[in-house]
Amino acid sequence: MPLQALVIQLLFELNKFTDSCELVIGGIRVDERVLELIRRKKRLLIPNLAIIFLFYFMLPLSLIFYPDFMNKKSFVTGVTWAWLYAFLQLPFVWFMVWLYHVKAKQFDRRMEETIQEELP
Amino acid sequence: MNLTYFLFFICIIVCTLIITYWAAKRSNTTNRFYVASGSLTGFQNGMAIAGDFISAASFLGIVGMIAINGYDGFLYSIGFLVSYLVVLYLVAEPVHRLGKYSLGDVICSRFPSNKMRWIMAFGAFAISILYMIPQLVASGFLLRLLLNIDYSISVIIIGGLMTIYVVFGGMVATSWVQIVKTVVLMSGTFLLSLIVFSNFNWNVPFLVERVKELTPLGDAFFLPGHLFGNPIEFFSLQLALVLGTAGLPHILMRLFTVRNTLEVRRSLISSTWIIGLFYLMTLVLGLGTVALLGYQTLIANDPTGNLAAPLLAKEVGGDFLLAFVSAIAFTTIVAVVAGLVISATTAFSHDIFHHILKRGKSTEKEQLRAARWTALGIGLISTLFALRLETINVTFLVSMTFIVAAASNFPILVLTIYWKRFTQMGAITGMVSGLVASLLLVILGPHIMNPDGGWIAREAIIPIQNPGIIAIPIGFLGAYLGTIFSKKQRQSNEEFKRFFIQSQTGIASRRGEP
Repeated sequence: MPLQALVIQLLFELNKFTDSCELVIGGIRVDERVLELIRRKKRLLIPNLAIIFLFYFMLPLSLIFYPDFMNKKSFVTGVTWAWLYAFLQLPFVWFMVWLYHVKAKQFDRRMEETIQEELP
Repeated sequence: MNLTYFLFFICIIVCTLIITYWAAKRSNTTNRFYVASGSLTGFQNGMAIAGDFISAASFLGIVGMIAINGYDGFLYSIGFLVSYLVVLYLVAEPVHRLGKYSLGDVICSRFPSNKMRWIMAFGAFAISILYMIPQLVASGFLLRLLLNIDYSISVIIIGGLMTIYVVFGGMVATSWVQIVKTVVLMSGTFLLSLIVFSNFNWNVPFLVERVKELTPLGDAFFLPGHLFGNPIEFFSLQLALVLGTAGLPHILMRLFTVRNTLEVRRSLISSTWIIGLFYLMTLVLGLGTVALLGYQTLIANDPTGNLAAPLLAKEVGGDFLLAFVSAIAFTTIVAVVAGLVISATTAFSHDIFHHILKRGKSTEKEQLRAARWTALGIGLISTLFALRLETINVTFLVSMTFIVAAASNFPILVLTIYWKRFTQMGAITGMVSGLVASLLLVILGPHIMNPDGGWIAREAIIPIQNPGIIAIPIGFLGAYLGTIFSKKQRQSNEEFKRFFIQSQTGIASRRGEP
């Protein structure tokens, strides 16, 4: 998906920290380890966002461009692909929310550890 | 009005007023008044978000839309739900970390200036009022239909209640009214869904067959394409729905009412579960309405289909259940409008009065007094507007709100948080172009310009019902052009870095003020 890759690249460029000067925020020295954590968080965020938009917009797009296929019966008895896809959006949302929660918890824990080490 | 209805309504009014009384004793600081001092737990806040979000348009409108249009009605709710992923992934945590009471705080933590605050306050105020007035008007009609009481009396009751909640109880009362609403709404729709299933012996294929028999669409009821014929309209609506929530001030404001980002995430987890399950139940209710009442009966009672859920309740549970569902609809409305009053109040009294007029120097007492008077003023003015607008069709404004939010607040929030080069000029041009474009597109569109009963009886200049697909890119483009044509701000790399690290990690907030 070249467009998607381009968007990801662009988003990366927008926020790349070019300089690595030391910062002190709220009495805490922000060093390379904190920046690395944020970078890792972003690396996770961008593809996930791409997946969310792709999965969501594929539903209207497939209904617009492939109505015949979407109205065919799927492998679940009595359910067409259109209904199956629409229903799948719900567990998809719950899964993505849960995924974010788990990853953010890890991020918070690592950040806390880093900050604890920094404190005198 | 018979006794059953009366008792249900009195019960709800008394319960919410008790909550307000209890909250009023606790709303004695600005922090309490605006954000309940972050005292809600994630789950409570999740329920309140759901209560803030699910309007009567969702509850009654979507059931009706499913009953009339089948598949396409259900698609509406999918967009509403997925929009929470955009909120969670892009804006939730940074908004919580950067803001104190309002969206103006969030943007001004990067671009601190009065100009910026004016614009953010105006945007939040306009969106909240635009959303509130049609809700009030719709509630007047709804109560008239359900309870047979006069339009003006219904509007005055609802307008009065929302004002009382906010003036006396602030965010604490608003939150708890919304939580109660979610509990009542979810249990009511769950009960109704169970009754629908039991009417068909828990046999879903049988229910589906009955639906096909009783709708004029026949088999095609379960196929897409009855509501959204035009692909551009369809795509445009889906775009506005998915991006709109992340720009709605009354929803984002709820992210300040918990104490940390863990609770923010818990709030959004609970609200997506509640909202997702709710929409599944509306599907059952929509199908149940067709299968038990038939299309003709529904249309004969109300051609818009908004009465689907109440009619279904009457069919399966008689007057008692109808009274219960009407009470749910009533609670739904007051909870949503109360949320809108408090968001408009914050925009005015916190951003404009405290920060701009008083240069951030007003005392706690003055701020609290200003907030209460503002809430009273907003409640009164919007009730008066709603009373005057009885004869004019304003329901389209509800869906417009999502477009306005997605075209103005959403681009500004995302670019402020994530774009290093973004400037204050860009934020202002983005906000203004998004607001102006979306409002202009509505005025020039078929909602207003319509030879057949529109405000302006002429052919629409821009014949598109859902102008999100044009307005949202204009919002982003305005922000982009404003940025590249403005002087590069003196804000250095380091300052953005500081801001960005704060927004992503909250490091500075640990030591008091950012």
